[in-house]
Amino acid sequence: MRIGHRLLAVLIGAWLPVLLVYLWWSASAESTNPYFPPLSRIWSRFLELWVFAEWPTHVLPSLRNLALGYAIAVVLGLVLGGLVGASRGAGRYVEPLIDFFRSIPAVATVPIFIIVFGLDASMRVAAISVGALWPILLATMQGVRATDPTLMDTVRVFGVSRTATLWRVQVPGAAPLIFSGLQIGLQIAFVVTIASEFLGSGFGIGAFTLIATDSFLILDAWTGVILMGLLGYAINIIFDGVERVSLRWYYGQKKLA
Amino acid sequence: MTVEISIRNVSMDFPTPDGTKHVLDNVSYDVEEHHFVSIVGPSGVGKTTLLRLLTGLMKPTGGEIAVDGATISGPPKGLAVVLQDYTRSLMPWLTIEKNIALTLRRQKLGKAEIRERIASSLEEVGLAGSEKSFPWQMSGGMQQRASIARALATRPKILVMDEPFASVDAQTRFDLEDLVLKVRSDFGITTLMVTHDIDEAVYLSDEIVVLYGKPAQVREVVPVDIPFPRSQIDTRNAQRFAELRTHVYAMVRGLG
Amino acid sequence: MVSGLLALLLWQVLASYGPISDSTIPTAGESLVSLWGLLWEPETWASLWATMQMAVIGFVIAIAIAIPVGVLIGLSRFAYRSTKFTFDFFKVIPPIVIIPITILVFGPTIQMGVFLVAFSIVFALAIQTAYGVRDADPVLLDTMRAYGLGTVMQVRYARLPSAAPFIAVGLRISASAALIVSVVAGLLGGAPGLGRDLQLAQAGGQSARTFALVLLLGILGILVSRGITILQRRIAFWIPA
Repeated sequence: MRIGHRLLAVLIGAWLPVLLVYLWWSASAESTNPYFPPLSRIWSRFLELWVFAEWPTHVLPSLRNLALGYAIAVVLGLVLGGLVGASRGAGRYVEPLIDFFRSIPAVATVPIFIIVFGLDASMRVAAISVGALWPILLATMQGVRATDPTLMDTVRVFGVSRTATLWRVQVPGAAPLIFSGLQIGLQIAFVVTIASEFLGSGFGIGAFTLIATDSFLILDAWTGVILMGLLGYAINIIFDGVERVSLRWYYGQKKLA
Repeated sequence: MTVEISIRNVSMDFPTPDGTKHVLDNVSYDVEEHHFVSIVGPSGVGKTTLLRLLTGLMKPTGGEIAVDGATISGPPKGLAVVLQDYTRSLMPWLTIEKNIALTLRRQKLGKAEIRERIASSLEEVGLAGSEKSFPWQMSGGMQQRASIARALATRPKILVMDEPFASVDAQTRFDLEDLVLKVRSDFGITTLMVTHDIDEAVYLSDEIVVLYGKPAQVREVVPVDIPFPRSQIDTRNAQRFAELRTHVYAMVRGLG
Repeated sequence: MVSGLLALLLWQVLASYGPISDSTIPTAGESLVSLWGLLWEPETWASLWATMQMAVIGFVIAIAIAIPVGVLIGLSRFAYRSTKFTFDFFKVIPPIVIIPITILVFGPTIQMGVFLVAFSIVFALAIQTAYGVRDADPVLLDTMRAYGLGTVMQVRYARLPSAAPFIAVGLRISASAALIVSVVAGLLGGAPGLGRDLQLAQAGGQSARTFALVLLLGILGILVSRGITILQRRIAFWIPA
């Protein structure tokens, strides 16, 4: 009866969202409110634009900036975090600085990047990478520092070099903590991507949506909002999947304990 | 008689908020090559401290430890370790073979030889074929075997074990003890084992070093004159076994 | 402390003599001067008040909705499983995404900011509360049931206490988030406050002022998070900070 069970579980989880969408659909069907057009019209406009006609113009540039900025943040965060975390002295100097930079809401830094870089793609990538860097950096530093002392003793006795110890033992061992930093970093990256487009105009999902709003193209604006919401959710799901696979050893080990 | 490890007048002090703590005082002992030596003593006497000094993880406050004639200043080459907590000593994100390969890195061997060593040491401990398993997929006893295999793969000259069987159940413990005897007879590696299990110490060792006192000193070195090969059923039943065990136990309790 | 001063010094040197000296980037000195000036402008304090207002009101509204709803959801397994997907979905999407709609509906006003703040934290807080309510000790609940104590008593004496640490954590995270979203509402949506000041400064080419405002926001962020920690220690000292 496992299939029956799973079907039931899906139904329980799905009935409310389906009902809400239905309510929205029917309640807005006769709508004359300029800000809340019929969902049916939003939907058909959505299909027109985003399946997949406007992807090359708006979605791909946004995703590309996001991916590039995030990748830079990940590499820098892991490398610097590993190096600083492994060195006893560096951490003490650097950590209060990192704490300060981390307290500035990443979106609020976008104006600074506009001043420094102007309004083009390099501004966006820079803002995204710097915004996403801090949680990754901190998580890596803390994770490396928290390596199990028994593990460290073992590899020391067996003569594993300091470099190998850092990159093959301390950093992988810190993966659970690092992944939570990576997740926060990804969320920040997504938000800064959109924010940089709101402030910078040009091409991109955020830019499209804001221009549509300013031009009173309500339908277009709604489709943009829905698209951003769906993309944000999808990115999160993908990340969860990657995390679950990468941390299989961690969950496997926890089940034993 | 060749001396492999020489512990000369070793003292260890620790600074604490309430003054200096003298853990070890003037501990001296020579470990003969190919011997299996157990280190026993009451809880907290300093067995683990001595072990950390032997593995080069700490430097003694006084005296020195020499391996093959040379004073050590850090973990010496050719020394392998098996610790009590295998879940924190084997890397859970690596397969067994990758765990072993990591400790072989320093020897810069070719791929074929690495593979061969992994296979042969796993076979020796009864884990043949489990190269691609993860530690957490195996039972406690199997993980400790893997830990021993990892030590063996490095072809060590000295093997140091810290309460290696304290975290497994009694049945598994007997199996692992016999495994250690097998390894001993196959390879003859100089071995030092810290244990609180006196039966185990008598069962496995050539000699037992009893640490006792505050600060700890070598109270006595008890030669175990029970012949090899030994067996769980016969040896433990023997008269001599009981005598030795009682004697060591008394020493550890501070009597006699 | 030392590292902060060193960083400022490095900034000053690079901006004055280094590769970026003839760009629009202000020096550390210029920015600090501007920051000092900001503190003397009454407009800055009015903006701070607007930002805090939006954050606090939105926060309170969210709590008023999230906690009762969360308790109700937590009490019923069916309700929990039914709402999980919906709440998770809204929790995950960043509030920035709905800004265009809120601009349309509310315009660049305080209400827009309040709505955005409340929207951004209500779902996560409700889920946290529900989770905590569900986490109540089943043995305690059985005992209470055996003594004939009804749902209200159970909630008061078993479920709320067990949910308290979860709610506390949720509140802490939500409080910081509220401030950030309040700034974002101004920066991207035009709602009054420091966020809007920041956007105007950058659009108006006032680079020193822009940097100064960002520094101010950073300091504000630290002060608020310290304040929350102190508050938590006082009110709920039994929860590890």
